[in-house]
Amino acid sequence: MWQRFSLYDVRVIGHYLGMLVLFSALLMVVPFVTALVFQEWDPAYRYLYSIGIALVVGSLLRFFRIQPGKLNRQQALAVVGLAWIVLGLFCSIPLYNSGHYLTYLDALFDSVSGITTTGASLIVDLDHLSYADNMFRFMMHLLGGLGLIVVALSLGVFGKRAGATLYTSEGRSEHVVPNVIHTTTFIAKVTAWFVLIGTVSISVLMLLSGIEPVRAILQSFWVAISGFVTGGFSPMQQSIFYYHSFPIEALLMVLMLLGTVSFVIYSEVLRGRVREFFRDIETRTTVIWMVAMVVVFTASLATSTLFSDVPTLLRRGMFVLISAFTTTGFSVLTTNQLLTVVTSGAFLTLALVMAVGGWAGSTAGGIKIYRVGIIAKSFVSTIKEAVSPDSATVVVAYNHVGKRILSPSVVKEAMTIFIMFVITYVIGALVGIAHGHEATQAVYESVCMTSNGGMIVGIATPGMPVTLELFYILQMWAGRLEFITLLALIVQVVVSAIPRRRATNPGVVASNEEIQL
Amino acid sequence: MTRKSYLGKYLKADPLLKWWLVLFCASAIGLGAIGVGEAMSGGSDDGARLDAAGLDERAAGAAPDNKLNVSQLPDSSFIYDITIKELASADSYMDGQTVQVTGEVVGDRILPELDSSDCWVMLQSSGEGDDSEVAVYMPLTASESIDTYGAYGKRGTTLQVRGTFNLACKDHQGASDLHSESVAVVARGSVEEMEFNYMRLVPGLVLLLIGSLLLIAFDIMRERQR
Repeated sequence: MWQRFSLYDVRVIGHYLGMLVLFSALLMVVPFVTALVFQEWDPAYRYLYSIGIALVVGSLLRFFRIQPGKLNRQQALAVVGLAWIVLGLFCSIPLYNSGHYLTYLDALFDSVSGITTTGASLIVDLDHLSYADNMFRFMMHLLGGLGLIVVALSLGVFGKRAGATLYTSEGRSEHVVPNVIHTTTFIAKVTAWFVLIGTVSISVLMLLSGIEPVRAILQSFWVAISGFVTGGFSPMQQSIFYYHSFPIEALLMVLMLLGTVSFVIYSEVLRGRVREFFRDIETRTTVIWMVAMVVVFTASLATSTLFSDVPTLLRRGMFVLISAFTTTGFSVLTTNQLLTVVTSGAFLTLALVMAVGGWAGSTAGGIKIYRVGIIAKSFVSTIKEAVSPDSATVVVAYNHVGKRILSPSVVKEAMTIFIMFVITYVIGALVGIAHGHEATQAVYESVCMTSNGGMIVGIATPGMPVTLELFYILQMWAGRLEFITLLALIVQVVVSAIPRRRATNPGVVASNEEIQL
Repeated sequence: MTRKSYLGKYLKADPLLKWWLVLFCASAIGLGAIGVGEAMSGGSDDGARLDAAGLDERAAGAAPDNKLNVSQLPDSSFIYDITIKELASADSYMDGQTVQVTGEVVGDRILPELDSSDCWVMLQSSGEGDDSEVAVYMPLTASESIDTYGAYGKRGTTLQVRGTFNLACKDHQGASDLHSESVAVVARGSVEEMEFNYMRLVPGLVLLLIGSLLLIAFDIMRERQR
């Protein structure tokens, strides 16, 4: 029997969503201050107005339930599921009013892309965007990359009563340290350090390349955030290609790879257990997977007449491959090059690498290397069982922050999410094809959206068909939540909306499940 | 309970309310200070600024150092007078061809090395609703004619560039670029003046006030329910 939402549940959910909307108002203070500092008056008015709207709506939502009480699992799923899209709606207000979007839906697409760290953008004339608007885009990345709930819990937005339930509902199964609040604080601190180091290093390189100091510092800060949270937004239209700098590209490759490492591993390494990193199933699976993909990608790209020399392969090829693996979405190739120069084999290899994605418990998207490793171990287990005598008990172990035994529930979870991703990739591709696009591009774009990869190739463009755009927004949302939270929310909403059947026998008493509070 | 202790209790109970009151007061003081500063300075006078609607008359082509030869027409045998939009979607046929494009300089001048005699400049299409771009590799001396780099509130210098288009340049590890042979200024850049207008802050401040009152009302109701 599916659980329905009662009126009490709706009120509690409304209250907590109100808290998150208020939090988004706080987020908008950063671009507002930026606008004041740089005397960008139009953005300043816009962000003040948007802060006001978020403050009023958030405050009104809190009135749904004055004393909300502790969140149960169903309520937490709904809050987390809706949080991304609700915040996307509020964050799109100042973006749309910037005049850099053809339609409101394009602005909503960008805000969802920012918060889910997809990095695909429909913005027009990015190079003329204000510092304030750019700051806001990267603040959305920072918020989404760390996790809405992580940031909110770290700042005490929800108080102490909702922590663990919300944390696990955001698709995070790994507790870096036992206490959820400490986990979220740890994640925030690690991110802050890497972003700071990245900002300082990249700004030095930008200053040396002749970029003026204010722009160098701001742009290095933004690309450092985008690189570490594997977001993909860039301050300039040509992405990282704009800087024409191999040292900057190399630094960003390192930052992207660091961003795709699980925070649990960082915790282990900081405690001195470095061997855990090398023993981990994700590390080993990554090595095998990437070696195979590098060979395939290089071999395919080498058949292209224009990209066949070694320096080009190393510089351009390696960067886009790492960007795809980490689902960041940075590019050192133009869209035209991806479509005309890169061979179809290399193109689809990029899509496959994005589809699998990075590490679980990190900022990366995709199916996750951990699940691929678990499925591979499951194959091993199945084969072992097939060749072993009936009386034998097959035990397959793996390392993931300690030695673990492969259990049916772990395999089931991995297979379920894997299948959900693949189904979504296929459906997204079919939707793209139905809109008249070429099959390989449709597959690639669908993978980009669902895996939150973001290295788009021109199907997602300003003013694209509304149906396709809405579907891509849904894909980004679903991919970020890894399906279960979103599907559970959709099912519960649908079930709650269907009127309950009246009992035909007056003597039948309603079950406990249907008693509403 | 006194009014003072009521307020103290709310502030303690609700950190969000505390932050909002601090931010509200700080932004009000900050905006007030800016307004006073603007009023006292009477607006800044930048000799390089031009009005947003038009261009400097001299930029039309009468400047003595303007190297533009408007009679230069594309020779169909070796120069393609092409738009940046077409170049941005060019296939391998255009690789290695001599092309001529016109566009706005945006972003920054980027030096590939510390003591380089060349630089990178990004040229954006001037077409209505079109923001296609091409990376131009030009001598440092040619970039001296650029007076403004396009950014927020700035329209960059419009250049006409003739050179060789590379779909994947071997000299630059596969970059899609245009190696310039000739660079000419078509129009000077401009900076848009943006004046501070108090009245445009009013809607935002009103909403902030309403929101803050709602927060206070919520906390009063929550205290009463405890």
